[in-house]
Amino acid sequence: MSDKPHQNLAVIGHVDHGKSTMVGRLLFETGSVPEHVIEQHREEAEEKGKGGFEFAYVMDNLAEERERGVTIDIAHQEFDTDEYYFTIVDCPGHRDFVKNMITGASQADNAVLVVAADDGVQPQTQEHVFLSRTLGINELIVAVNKMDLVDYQESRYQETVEEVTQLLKQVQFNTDDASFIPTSAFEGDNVSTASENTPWYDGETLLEALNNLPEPQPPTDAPLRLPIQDVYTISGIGTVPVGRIETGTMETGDDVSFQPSDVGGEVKTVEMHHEEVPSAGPGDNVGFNVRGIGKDDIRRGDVCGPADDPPSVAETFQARIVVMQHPSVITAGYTPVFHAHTAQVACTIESIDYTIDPASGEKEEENPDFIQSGDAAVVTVRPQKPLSIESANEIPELGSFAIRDMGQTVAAGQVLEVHER
Amino acid sequence: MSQQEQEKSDKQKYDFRKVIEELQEYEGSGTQLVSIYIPEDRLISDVAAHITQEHSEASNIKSKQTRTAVQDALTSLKDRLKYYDVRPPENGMVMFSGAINSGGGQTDMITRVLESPPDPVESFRYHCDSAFLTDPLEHMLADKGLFGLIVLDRREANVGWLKGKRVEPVKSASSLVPGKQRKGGQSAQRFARLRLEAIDNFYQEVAEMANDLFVAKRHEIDGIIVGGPSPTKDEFLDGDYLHHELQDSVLGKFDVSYTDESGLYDLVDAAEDVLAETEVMKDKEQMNEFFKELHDGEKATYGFEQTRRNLIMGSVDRLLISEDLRDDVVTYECSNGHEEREVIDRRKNTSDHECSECGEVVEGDDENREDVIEHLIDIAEQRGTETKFISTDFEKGEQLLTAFGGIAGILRYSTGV
Ligand SMILES: Nc1nc2c(ncn2[C@@H]2O[C@H](COP(=O)(O)OP(=O)(O)OP(=O)(O)O)[C@@H](O)[C@H]2O)c(=O)[nH]1
Ligand SMILES: [Mg+2]
Repeated sequence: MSDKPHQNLAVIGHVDHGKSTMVGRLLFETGSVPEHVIEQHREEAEEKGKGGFEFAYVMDNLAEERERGVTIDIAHQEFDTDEYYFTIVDCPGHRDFVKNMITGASQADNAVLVVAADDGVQPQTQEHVFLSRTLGINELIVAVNKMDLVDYQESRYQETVEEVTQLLKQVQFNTDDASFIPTSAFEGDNVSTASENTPWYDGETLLEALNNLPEPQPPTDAPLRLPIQDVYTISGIGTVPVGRIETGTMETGDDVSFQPSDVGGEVKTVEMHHEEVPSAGPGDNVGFNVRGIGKDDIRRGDVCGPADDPPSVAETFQARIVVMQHPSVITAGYTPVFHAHTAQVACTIESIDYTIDPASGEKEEENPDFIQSGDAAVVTVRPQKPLSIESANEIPELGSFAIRDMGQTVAAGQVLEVHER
Repeated sequence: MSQQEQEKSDKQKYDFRKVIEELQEYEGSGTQLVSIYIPEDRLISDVAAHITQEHSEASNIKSKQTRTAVQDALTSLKDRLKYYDVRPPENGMVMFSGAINSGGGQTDMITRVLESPPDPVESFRYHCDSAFLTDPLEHMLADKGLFGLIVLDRREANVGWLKGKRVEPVKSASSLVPGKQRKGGQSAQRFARLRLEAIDNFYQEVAEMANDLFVAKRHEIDGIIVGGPSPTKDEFLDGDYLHHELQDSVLGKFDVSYTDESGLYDLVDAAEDVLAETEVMKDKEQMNEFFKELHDGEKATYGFEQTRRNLIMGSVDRLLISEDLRDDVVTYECSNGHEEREVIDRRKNTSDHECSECGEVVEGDDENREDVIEHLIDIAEQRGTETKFISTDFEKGEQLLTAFGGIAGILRYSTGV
């Protein structure tokens, strides 16, 4: 395999803004997908009355996705450029599948945010940006897409840039860590070659921007933590959990433990990019096989770690949260869904311990009756089902979470302390 | 039901519940606690005759203590019957009497009569035991409505009940449907076919789970509600996987993103429209309005003191009280004429109180102690404020009790209190 540095990239944005098309186009232009395959997709798409989805079909391979022209689950694709070996995760934009987007984004270092110029910032543009900030995305490349639909007008581009910049500020995403590119994923403008349709733009193409991404920072010096994204059964091999190594390394022969399922065994094989490898490290997407572990023993949301330093399982945990947008108020007893790494568990906010001034970080009020949008607070949380999570001080990669309720992301936070079972 | 009647029935249910809870705590040392359920069409004279007969049969009871206790109870009940003319009040009535253990080998004679329960008493029942028979009454007070809930996507499914106001997750299943990652070497067609098969199998499994749970209750069920992210629930319902008799009870399908247990709760929220007439939605609407006012309005108040002050000002439109609130309020007046109140758990003894204005310690007096709910309702009634009892069987109802002390109010106008 390639010895270039590895880069995990999520493609995010509102439904139908062109994420899958962008990924398909990128893979096509970098030679990872041959022309005749696109041609085949074009025929299938037209047959289904979904003309225009030929590039999206590269990523949308499920029948139900193709029929509806909507991405449902995340899909990974590998491709390499001059600088990096990329694993690109195409996320769904539909509001019902934000839970899948979270899984995808939690595995990424950086992200491409696709915003259609003819539609501007929409609810999931907002939600995805907020989530990517909390899930540890470092840089955003903003593709202002579908420029062909607005006649490549610079003014429309600038309006969208302005709108997105406002949004980034709103969620306190450092705007210096964002770059903007006018694109048409469908026509191929500014994807891998500078477009003649945008003479007013002299910045990078998307591909250049990808190559110019900073190298992912080496993770903390923590033990192995590998959140399980999926569990497959593969004939000839058996049960194969897959996921991205957040910290530490995994080698064949290691004795590992899965929490909170609380099972373990010896690692027999580790596979990366469809090849067997002796060991894998932070940022690597792996599939592996553990002696004695069956399909029903482990599940998405488990974390794999060394048997002698297993992932923590929280009876309760204390965390600092920031309420992003909540239609009413949050009180003790509130039980929304928490997303942490690949896990999704209903948790009760058992107590609101104190509020903090979001600007200074100082303690404000002890035991307030409730908190609401814009508030920051330290709370004690009780998962309703076992949850493996770590203190952000010890393992930041596994210490943050997002809180969702009523179909929207209402808050996000970091774990301060885990009280183990 | 008119608003006033509704309110009356809420208050009445509360009173009933209170008596039932009291009765449940009592115990007789022998088979000596008498419960009588009387339907509305039963002649009082018949009941009296029945009691007279039981009284004479009781003389055969061996234990003198029990014999006396039973006969005393029956005499007491017969006395009570004198208040009624020919027939009992609407829906009938339920009478309880007996000598209960009051600790230290002592007994207390108690008699309680509940008139016009929420549902008609179905049949005459005479019951003598070491505990009072309260089950039939509890049954009447239980929330009505039974809905089957199903949430599913291709990964997992959960089925459960909405019983009255409570969501009860019952069973779950997770699927073997492969995700998007096709494994190397497998052809696209083969992958797609295997996947379709796996999906079909999974839908069958979900249907079986639902059938197991719902078919037996199909005559009691008020409806079935199905939820999940976009395409799955449609495929599931269109595919006739459910038992045909259940198919007809499906009231609707709704978009919910989660398909674990929390999806069942989301489903009840999403199905607001088809559940509009149910009791849970009525409670939910009240609480939603209260939460919304807390967030972006000024017309909300909570906690005993604040709510009481608003009630007295006449600014409360609706008083919201948690059904599970079990507190008393004690009023203290110090010698300087400062009147103050403390809310205490019903099981605790009245304690002394330090006046916050002059520091004087005022002795607690049980005379000045009363049920916090009755205290507030009295004020509410004088001011024309509606009272709503809120169940703790759903999230915001639980929050009313745990986070807001079980007492809140939606105001007519902002008062700044
Ligand atoms: N004209 C034009 N159409 C585009 C462009 N990019 C995407 N589209 C069209 O927009 C539609 C949606 O594209 P997708 O790539 O599926 O969008 P998506 O963001 O992946 O959507 P979800 O994954 O469902 O959130 C398709 O019909 C595409 O052909 C573009 O640059 N110009
Ligand atoms: Mg897509």
